[in-house]
Amino acid sequence: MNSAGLRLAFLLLPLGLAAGSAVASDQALKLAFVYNFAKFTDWPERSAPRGALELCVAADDVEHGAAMRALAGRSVRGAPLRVRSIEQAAEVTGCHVVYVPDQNARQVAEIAQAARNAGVLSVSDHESFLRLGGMIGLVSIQGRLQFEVDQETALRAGLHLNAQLLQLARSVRRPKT
Amino acid sequence: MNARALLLSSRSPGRPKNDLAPSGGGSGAFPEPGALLITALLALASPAAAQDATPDAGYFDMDLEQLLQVDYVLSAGKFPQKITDAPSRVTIITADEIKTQGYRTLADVLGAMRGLYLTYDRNYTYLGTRGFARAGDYNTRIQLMVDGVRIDDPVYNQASIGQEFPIDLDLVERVEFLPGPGSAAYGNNAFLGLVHVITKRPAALDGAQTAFQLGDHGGRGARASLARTLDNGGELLLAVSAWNQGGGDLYYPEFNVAPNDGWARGLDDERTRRAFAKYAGNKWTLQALWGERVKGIPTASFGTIFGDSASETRDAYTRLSARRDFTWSERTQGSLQFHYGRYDFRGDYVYDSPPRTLNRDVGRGDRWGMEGKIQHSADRHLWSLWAEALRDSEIVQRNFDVDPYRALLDERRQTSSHALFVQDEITLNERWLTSLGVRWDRVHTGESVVNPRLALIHKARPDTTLKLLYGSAFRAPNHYERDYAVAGFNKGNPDLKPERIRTLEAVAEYRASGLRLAASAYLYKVRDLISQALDANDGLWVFRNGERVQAQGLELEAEYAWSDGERLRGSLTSQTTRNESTDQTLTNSPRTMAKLHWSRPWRGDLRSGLEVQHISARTTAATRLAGTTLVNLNLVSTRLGKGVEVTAGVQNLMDKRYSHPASLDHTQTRIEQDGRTWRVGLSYRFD
Repeated sequence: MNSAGLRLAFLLLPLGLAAGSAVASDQALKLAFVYNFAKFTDWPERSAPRGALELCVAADDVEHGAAMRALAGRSVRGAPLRVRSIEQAAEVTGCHVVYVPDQNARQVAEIAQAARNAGVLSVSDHESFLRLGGMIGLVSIQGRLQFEVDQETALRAGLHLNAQLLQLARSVRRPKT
Repeated sequence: MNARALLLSSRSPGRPKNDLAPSGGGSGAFPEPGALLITALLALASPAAAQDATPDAGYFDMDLEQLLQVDYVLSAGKFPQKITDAPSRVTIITADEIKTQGYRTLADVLGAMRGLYLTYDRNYTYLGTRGFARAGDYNTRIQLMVDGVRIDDPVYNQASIGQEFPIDLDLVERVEFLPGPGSAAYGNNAFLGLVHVITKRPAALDGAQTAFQLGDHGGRGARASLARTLDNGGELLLAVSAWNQGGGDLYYPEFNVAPNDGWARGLDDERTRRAFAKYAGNKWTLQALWGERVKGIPTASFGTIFGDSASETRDAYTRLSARRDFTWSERTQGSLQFHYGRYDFRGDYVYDSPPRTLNRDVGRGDRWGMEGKIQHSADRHLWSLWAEALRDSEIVQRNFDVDPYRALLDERRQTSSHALFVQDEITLNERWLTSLGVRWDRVHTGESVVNPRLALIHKARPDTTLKLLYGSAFRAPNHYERDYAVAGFNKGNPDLKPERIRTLEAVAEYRASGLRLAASAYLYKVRDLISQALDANDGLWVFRNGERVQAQGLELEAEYAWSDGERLRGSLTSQTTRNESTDQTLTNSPRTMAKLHWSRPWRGDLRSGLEVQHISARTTAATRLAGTTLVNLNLVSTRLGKGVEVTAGVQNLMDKRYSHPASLDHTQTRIEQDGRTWRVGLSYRFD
């Protein structure tokens, strides 16, 4: 091994020492939000969880897959959590929560609509998710993730969101009285 | 299993040290500034320095209040949703990956993709795909698009992927590559593939930013950007950047005579300037860009005087575009796009006529374009209708000696072309999907061409998809191939016809949580391929239709992600090509390629990107170049302070000596590439 190589190996040594901490991915952080939203939601009779709570993710990339794998096996208020991926809006029926990662507006709107019809909580990090008919939108503000809620849309779909959740939201669009 | 246990089980401390231990072969000293910076970065990453980092707990164990406090610095990573309509296997590299792997040019990004390989002659960078990398082909068989608009010039139809690509990589959200003939949907040049560059949303750059870079051979660069969200909800971005590099001393044994003894000293210089503006409103998106690159030619290509610093090329792109999006209903959407583009090329070539004479080659193209698209979903059908009209209002090719002035070529043209594309994507049932597309083109040479495209997609299981794709495409000769004639050297060929390709591809994809496996096998048949040849009767170079070529190959790709953001991606390509007229393998067509990319977050917001790329031997008419394996390493840290980001990268870490094949425009048969090079960067975001 020549001197440059040795020097490099020496330089890289601390990298090995730094290993061992768990820094989670963007996708895991967002799914952790979604998981928490599920804890604060009451579903209408027609779509209430019977047995497992189904958390659906409309993504098929490996990063979301990895985060979903880490989330699987937990529980929400005593109900076991099942995490699966879906591809089309039609598959939303049977989910209790659907998370739609940022993608083109047409697909996001379709899934948001299917979620409203089926009484499913919808969450997305699409910038204008609430305008597209979604219930909870994740937004990045000054280096932190925050969320905004359209309570009216949720109520119309028969979903009740806990007051504690609404209190933590950055903004809440309340139903017109 | 507990998520935290899962997160931790994938670790084995010390592994990177073993992976990265260089096995010798290096000859150059490791550059000082780069080494210092890496040391500084690593010191930050050590456990002592990282005590105040993010709490060591999985996100899934946090409650909402804790989650709201998590620093979300790596916001560049977006879900890579493909926006192109082609059903082929798309490769996507995102801004996150560009930053983590330290890619410096669009060519670096493409070179990291499955099945693609590069050839650099120290003037332009050429992209090879599926075994095709024709000598003297300025990427005319690849369509390059930026935000949905083609950016090739109307003179040479060149896809610029080196530093001459007019957009700074820091402004790029992602790069997509669609292999195969997309021209059923994307037009003339998508013969072997389509490169689509999507720029960032202004909001992603958030506020004012400034950045500086340093590299070897006096390389230095700067960038400044300003992004604002306006009162009406629209977003605005302005960015400027520049990069200068002096160029090292290069030795070419072919020119080992006095006075230079084969040394081209400081002639590999490169200067780049770029400006970019984007407004993204609710309905309108407006974009303006300008980019200029001036490159010295150290190789004495085209028979110029070796060692003369006046030989250089200048490429400049200007582009204005406006897009209006329409949403008529949830089922029907569309867009209308207008664009204007100008391309300016100037090549200065110094010849020993004698006396020493400066010859100038000029290419200029002005293009106006309009494009409309409508998408309508109805029941089981998704209809797409797409129309394009292009007007090349000025196409100029000139060649002259500067002093004394002597005109050798003065060719001016105006042309138009238009195209129509219609596609129906039909969901037959839950498991079967088919897509039928047909495109009609009236090309600038006056011919009309129809190309069909068929795809059959079968979801064999929820995690497994099978695809069968058939496509055909054509490429009309460009003005350079048809009209470029310089007395005594080249002649034009007004009888050139479009070249044609038919392809068949089978794809299998498997996805499970965190894992993706893909395999594809393809067969390409090309006829009337346009190639440059020497006419034996008059000794002039001319472009002709002729060769029939068949290419086939197999590509495998695997990708795995851990929930902490660590990612591993590898690809393997095996390909063979055969020129049916000569029964020989095509030149510059490596048989195998293997690529491995590993990125990993470390404590304290440090991320590392490591890649290993192997390309097997390439042969040319004159020589055979041995296979080569290159290693690149890059580190990114956001720990130095709020808004500060530091990067340090080394390309060709092992300082491997290797060469790329040279085209016939060179005396050399091979062009030696760079050994180990480093680049460091610092960026700061004002709050």
